[in-house]
Amino acid sequence: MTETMNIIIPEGQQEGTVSTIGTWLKKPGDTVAANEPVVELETDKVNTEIAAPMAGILDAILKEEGEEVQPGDILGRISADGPKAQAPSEAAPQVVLPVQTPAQMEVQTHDGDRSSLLSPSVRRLFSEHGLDRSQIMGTGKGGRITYNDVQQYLASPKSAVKAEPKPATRPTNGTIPSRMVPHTSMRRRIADHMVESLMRVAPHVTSIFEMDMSAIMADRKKQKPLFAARGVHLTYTAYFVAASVAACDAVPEVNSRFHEHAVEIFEDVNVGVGTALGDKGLVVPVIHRAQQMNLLGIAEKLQDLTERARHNNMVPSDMQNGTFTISNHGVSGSLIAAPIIINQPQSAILGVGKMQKRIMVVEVNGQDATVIKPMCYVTLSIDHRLLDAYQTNKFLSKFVEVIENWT
Amino acid sequence: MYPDAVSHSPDDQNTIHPRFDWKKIARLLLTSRAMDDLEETRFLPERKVLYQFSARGHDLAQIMLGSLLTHPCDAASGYYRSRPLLLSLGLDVEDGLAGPLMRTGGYSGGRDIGVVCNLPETEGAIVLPMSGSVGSQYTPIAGWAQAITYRRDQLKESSWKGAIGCVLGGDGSVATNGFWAALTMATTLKLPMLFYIEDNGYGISVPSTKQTPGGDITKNLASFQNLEIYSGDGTAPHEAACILSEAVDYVRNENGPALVRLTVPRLSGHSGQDTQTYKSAEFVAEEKSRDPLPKLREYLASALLSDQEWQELEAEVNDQVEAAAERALARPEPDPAGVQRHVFSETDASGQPEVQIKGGLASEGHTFPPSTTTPAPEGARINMVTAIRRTLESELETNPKVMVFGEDVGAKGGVHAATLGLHDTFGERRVFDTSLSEEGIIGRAVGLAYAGLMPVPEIQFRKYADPATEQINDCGTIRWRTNNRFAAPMVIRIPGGFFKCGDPWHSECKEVVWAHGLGWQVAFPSNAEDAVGLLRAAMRNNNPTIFFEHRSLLDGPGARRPYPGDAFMLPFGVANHVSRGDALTVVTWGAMVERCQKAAAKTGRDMDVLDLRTIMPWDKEAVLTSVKRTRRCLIVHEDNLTAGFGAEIAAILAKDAFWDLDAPVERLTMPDVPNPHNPGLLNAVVPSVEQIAEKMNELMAC
Repeated sequence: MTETMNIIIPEGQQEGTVSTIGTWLKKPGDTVAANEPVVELETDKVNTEIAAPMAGILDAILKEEGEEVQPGDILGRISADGPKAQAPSEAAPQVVLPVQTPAQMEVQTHDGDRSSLLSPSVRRLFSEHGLDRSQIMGTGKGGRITYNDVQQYLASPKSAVKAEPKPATRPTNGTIPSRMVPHTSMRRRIADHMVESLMRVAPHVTSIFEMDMSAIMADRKKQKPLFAARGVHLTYTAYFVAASVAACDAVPEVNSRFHEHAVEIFEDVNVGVGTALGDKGLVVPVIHRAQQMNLLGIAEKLQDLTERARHNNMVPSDMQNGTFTISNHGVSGSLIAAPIIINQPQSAILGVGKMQKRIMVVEVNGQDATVIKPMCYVTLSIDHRLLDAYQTNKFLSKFVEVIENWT
Repeated sequence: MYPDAVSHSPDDQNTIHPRFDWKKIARLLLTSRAMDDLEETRFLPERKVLYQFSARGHDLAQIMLGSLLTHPCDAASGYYRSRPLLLSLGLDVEDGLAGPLMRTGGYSGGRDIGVVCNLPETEGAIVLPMSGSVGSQYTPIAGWAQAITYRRDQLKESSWKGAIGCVLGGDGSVATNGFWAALTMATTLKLPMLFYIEDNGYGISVPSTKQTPGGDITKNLASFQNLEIYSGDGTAPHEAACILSEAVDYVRNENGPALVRLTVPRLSGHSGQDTQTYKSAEFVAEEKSRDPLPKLREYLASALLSDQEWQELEAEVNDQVEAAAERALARPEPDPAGVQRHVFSETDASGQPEVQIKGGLASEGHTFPPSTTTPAPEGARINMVTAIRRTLESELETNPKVMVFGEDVGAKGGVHAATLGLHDTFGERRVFDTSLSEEGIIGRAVGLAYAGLMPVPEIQFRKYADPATEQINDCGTIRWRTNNRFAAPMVIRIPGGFFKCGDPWHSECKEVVWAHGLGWQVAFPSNAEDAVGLLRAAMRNNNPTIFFEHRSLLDGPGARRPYPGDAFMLPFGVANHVSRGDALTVVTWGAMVERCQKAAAKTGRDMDVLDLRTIMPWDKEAVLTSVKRTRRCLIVHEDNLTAGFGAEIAAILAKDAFWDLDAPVERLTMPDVPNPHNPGLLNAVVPSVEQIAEKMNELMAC
């Protein structure tokens, strides 16, 4: 009687979220050690690996690469002594040289596309590290993947996505020349989410306010060296998080989730901060229980999350259980963004635009006067199923008040 | 010491020649016949012996000759029908039977045919390793004879006085190149050498009239200067006794070479396989009538051995041979585990060298002055040819057993000037010109080596080694096929490779031939310092070595180095890292080393360039270590592509470095053409610096 064990998604890693199979690191027939990684999963913009629950031989793969999986799904099977049927191994690329006539001195080289040629040392690395061709860019002649290319890939941080495959030139339907860039799984997920949130779930409405940044600028100038002395980089975002907390406290309905028969109002304010990863997309790390933190605490947590996001070191829980989201879109230059698509299943999303010195009209001793102030537009896009203009503007008023009167 | 031959007229057929121990001769003759009978009637039909050669008819004369070769510095060499001679020199019957039975012990421990004999230790003449190639036995005995004169007159070893070299051959062998090369040497140098031709009228099936006009070599050599000739009937006991004792004494008394031709019947076929259908029935009957055995019986009947005594002797001999046969059959089969041993000189488990019984300096316990692998360069740079000359000089000085010879090596100082002045310094006996026969040069060197000397022959150009191929090949296998009883270490210096122009005759390399040939070390230095180290090491080594002197390096500026000292020696099989780097491994040697260095500089990249220095053995470890790091390898050699030594290196890499390779293993060599004469054509085919650099870049970018 052979002992077998199923490879399943362990508890606590996938609660409620959807994952897809990324890459199988082993194939049926391969020997695996206990706790050796056998498959990579892609979840909420973070990749995780599932390890073999026991030593043995990978018996069968039940979920293929790219397939969606839920917690509790059986991904594969490991048996103590062997697979029932061998999966056919991937054929190595065949390199066929023409027969040499005595007059031919030169060996026929592969001209053109050599991206599928794998030298012995490269194949060895692939097998040792569980890699495949699509992960690595070849810089050798004709696009060949060289030993150094693989070494460089292994030395670079584990990417959340596979390397972009080379764009293949395919004929278009019309007469416009173009190139196809296949979707990464992150892109696909973002696409699905945006359509879902904006067009199927929530009727979006956006309210626009503006705020004077002077107070927090002055405060930041004062606090920054003190924070730095404690190893913490103080950003404006920390203030926005703090102000959001105060605003949520004033308007708890904003910090909520719509259910069919009720609105769930959260007691914790878990503020997600939208963080761009360059070309690759967007992640939203969450500062949990921000209502318990002071500015230093918020700044520290923000720093930690941003660092880890940039170095691909986040874990799924970093991005789970957010109740409210801030989008700092102004960092890249936009003044106003409306709507900003709500991060489901939340009820609202705050947008902060680019800071701009503007001439404002203020009343001084009953007289109108012009002053130059550092201003920012701030928006709140809401789910109009459960929020109206009243809560929206009350929220924003409080937000702006906290920012403009910061001490 | 040896009395002049007592002159007996042929009429005294019944006078017992006093020189010989006839009872012993009778015993030996009966023994030889009993062994022939045993093999023909039992062992061959039972397929216990696969190659069977009887000596019936030849036996009496050989035994008589052998009984005269009693000087401890005598040497004899024969061919496949020489067992009676060996019996008379003390061959143990059991050993003699065990050889054809392919058992352990004996001449070769089952490695060679049972009649290819050698005897390294006897009371009289030793028997030099025969070769299976007819005709190749002559020039080594000429070498031995020259060694006798050298040790006697140059080294002043009185124990060598009166010794001779004696070579047996059939009437067929007088047509071979080796016979004439040896004859030339023996007569021009007046060597103490005895040629013994057993004329049975046939070489397998070919009659002697095809080998020399009229079939009688002595008639045709009658006017050959410096050669004393004897001819007679090898079956007539008295006549043969007179001729043989006279001839042997003639040579022993330093009168020069002699040739004895005795007619004998070949009473069996060429071998056990031969049915002799090419002989007429009358001829066969006539041969039978000339059987020397009844003739000897009759010769001794009246005075020495009565009929009764003869029969008793015969019975006794038969019993002894039977008993020896049982013991030989009981010997174990040789152990396959040892079949690869003794190709080269080996050391035992405790690191002691396992020295051959006979041959070379090591078998006489020669010691050398101290040496070092650290060079001590002094003074200005010198040409590689000058460095070679200085090395020869220092070894000639410190080792009195060194002899340097070849065509034009003496007074002229060599056509490449490598031996300039050495003849004047060391004299004709030690540094001398040879006759124009490369077979003779190398065969002679083999004989000199057997006699405990260190011969350093020169082949003037690589291509001219072709006629010496047989002697070179046979020399390389001596140790293996005699199971380490004999070895013939020497250093053959061979200039070759291109020079300012090329051509098919003077510019060959083809060093790969000796890497594939068994038992030869091959050195191929790229510069003067390495040349000194490798040449000195070769001249002190217990293995035969080929030392390749590239013509363009002999005086090329790139190969010049200061002389590294008289103690400097380089081990074989250790490559030199000319440069180091991770981008590529380049394996090369000889004249290509400098070109690879320049090409590497042209690419501007850091790479490992390895100068192998020696082709056999070669530094596999250094090459593999480098390729495992760089993952790309380019082999550059001058020899043409197909099956050049680069192919061997590439095959080793394909196996041992397979999993580390990131690019195909490439070779850049001359194409498969002979070397062209016109310099433009030459430069188009020999790898140039530009071509090498281009190939390097291609490999690094692939």
